[in-house]
Amino acid sequence: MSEIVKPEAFEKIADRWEKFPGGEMILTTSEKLFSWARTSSMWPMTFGLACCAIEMMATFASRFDLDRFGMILRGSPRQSDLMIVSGTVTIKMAPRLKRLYDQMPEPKWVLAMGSCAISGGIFRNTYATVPGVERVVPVDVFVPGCPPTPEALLDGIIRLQNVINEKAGKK
Amino acid sequence: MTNPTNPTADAVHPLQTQVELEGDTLLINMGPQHPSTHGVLRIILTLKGEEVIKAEPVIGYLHRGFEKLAENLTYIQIVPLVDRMDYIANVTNELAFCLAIEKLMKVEVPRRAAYLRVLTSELQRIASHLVWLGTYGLDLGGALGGGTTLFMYCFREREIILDLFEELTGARMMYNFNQIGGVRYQPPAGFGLRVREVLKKLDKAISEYQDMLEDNYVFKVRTKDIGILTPQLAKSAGAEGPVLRGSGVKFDLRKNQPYSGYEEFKFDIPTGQKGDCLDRAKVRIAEMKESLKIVYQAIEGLPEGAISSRPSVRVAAAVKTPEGEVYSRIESPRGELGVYLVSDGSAKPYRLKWRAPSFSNLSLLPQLVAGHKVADIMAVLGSLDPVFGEVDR
Amino acid sequence: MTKQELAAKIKEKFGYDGKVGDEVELLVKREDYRPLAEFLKAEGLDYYCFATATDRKEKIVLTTRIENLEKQIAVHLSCEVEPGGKVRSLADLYAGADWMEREVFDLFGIQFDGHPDLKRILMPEDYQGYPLRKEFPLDQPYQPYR
Repeated sequence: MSEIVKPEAFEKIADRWEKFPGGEMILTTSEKLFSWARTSSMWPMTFGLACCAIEMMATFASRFDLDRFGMILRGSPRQSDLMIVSGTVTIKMAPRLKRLYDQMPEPKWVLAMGSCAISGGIFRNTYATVPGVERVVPVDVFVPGCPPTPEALLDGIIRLQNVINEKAGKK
Repeated sequence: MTNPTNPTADAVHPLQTQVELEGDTLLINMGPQHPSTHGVLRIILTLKGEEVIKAEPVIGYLHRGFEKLAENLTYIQIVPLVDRMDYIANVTNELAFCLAIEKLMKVEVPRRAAYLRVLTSELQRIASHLVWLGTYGLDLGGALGGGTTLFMYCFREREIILDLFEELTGARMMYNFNQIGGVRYQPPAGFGLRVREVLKKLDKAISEYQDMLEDNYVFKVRTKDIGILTPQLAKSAGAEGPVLRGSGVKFDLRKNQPYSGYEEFKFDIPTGQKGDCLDRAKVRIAEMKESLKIVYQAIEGLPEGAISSRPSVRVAAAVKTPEGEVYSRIESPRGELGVYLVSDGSAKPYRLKWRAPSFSNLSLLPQLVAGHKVADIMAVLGSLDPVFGEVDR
Repeated sequence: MTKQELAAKIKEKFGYDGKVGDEVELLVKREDYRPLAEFLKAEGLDYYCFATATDRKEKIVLTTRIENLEKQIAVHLSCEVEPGGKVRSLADLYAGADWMEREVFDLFGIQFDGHPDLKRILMPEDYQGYPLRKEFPLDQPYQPYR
């Protein structure tokens, strides 16, 4: 087993790890095991709205590959568990965003990427912008920037993974 | 439309559209969220089997109120705001806006600044066409199928261009590079060497894409004779740029109405013959090669001198324009980007109209798609290359 | 044909004095808006650039730009409309007028007679008010959705 998976992963999730002749054994809780599986293969839904979508696409592309984190872009909300809201949310789009969020199955997380998704950004004071996506759906991680560089988005995703793992570890 | 669980409910939900159906046509919604990465566009399709009878685009999902916001900001504050309109080709937006104000104020731009503007605009044109090509491959091939190949290749090349921009301006996307009277940043030492290296790599890569695509049987089957656009319809709708040039009209604002020093550069204007998606694709790929020539000429002949004729302004209200109206336009990667500015003599515009090329290009979609199959919608939409930050403003 | 010749023809036929600069600027009466556009299309100006409006407090000035690309002749056709007024639409002359006039209706409230499908294009379908008028406030409070 230790040839396939790196030992650090075991240290994160294992309460007890014993090696004895004939094999190894880890003792852990099921929440920790499931949250490890969930964070290692979060499938985001393509929800690019505006400029941040281009940086999100660049994060999925060759240089800052997100496939090594286990993330595959799924088109349908029914098959995804992460929604990366990238771009300005307008009053015409807000009901659709809520509807898509409702269509995602549990457990689901929302990552607000960029200033416009966090607080309305540079377009905050207009008649057509929703000042932050938190007014429409509950958000787990905020990634600031206009647009955030791919390194910042990766940092945000890793933070989300840590948050999920910690929540499971506390139970 | 009757509700199957409660047939007596006659109330129409605001998200529904009321349309009379006849025969065996199917009304389908291609919603604002769909796997094609073009942005938030909703198309209401009337289908008969697999064939499209009517396609009605619904836009406005990214309307952020830019024109009204611009009436409350000073000119210096509008320049970074304008970056976010056409978010794939940022420098061209700033260039259009600064040219409009310089035309109204009759400000001269130093020659070094004009060359730097041309250099960054053409590099930005190559980056924008690479995004177009990558997402076109994604649309035609599918997200997990063969389409991701072209996407990964094109974005790899785009990253080396963005490295150059990061060296020059400090940012990967929203540069805020042009200012009224010139440009803001001086190229660092050794910039010319790195530009030449990037040009060599891009030349090889773009030739590879040309070989890969233009004689490719599958690409031709998907794009040949699809979405044929006549020059009369294109002109009547206001479409310009690769959309018009693909139909055979040899018109380019960089040659016919040159701005910012373009008259000193030697380059060709590629055109198509028939006006189908294949011609538009070929025109864009050939345009990338021409832009490489212009960047080479710009970096070879970069003159010495000041980079701006106005001091770098840090006081917000310091630019006042005389009263009047002006319309100035440039050739953005998508077509004619125009700025119509009405000024009343103060530091804020009275009315700023952003004439976006993607708005006019997208209004051609219903005519181009009627009669084709469902899968051809994405081929036509990709070849029109809309950016929704511009369409909705 | 040059800009000056076109301006002279317009003065001869319709009686308007156009200001000839980079483009020919005309301020016409509302009834002459459509006949002048038909005249310009017959003269070969077949490229429809944009249509927009400016709110001048008591009246709204509707401006359309039509041009001929190869000969580089452009005309700015303006006419004054009172808020909520009607103008004859150009949608059957130029294909681009369809969406541009819908946008002017959406943001300013000018009605266009003869437009095939005049409804809101950028704002939601059931929105009240015309945002780009000067008396419309820039920001409005947004009720939390949840």
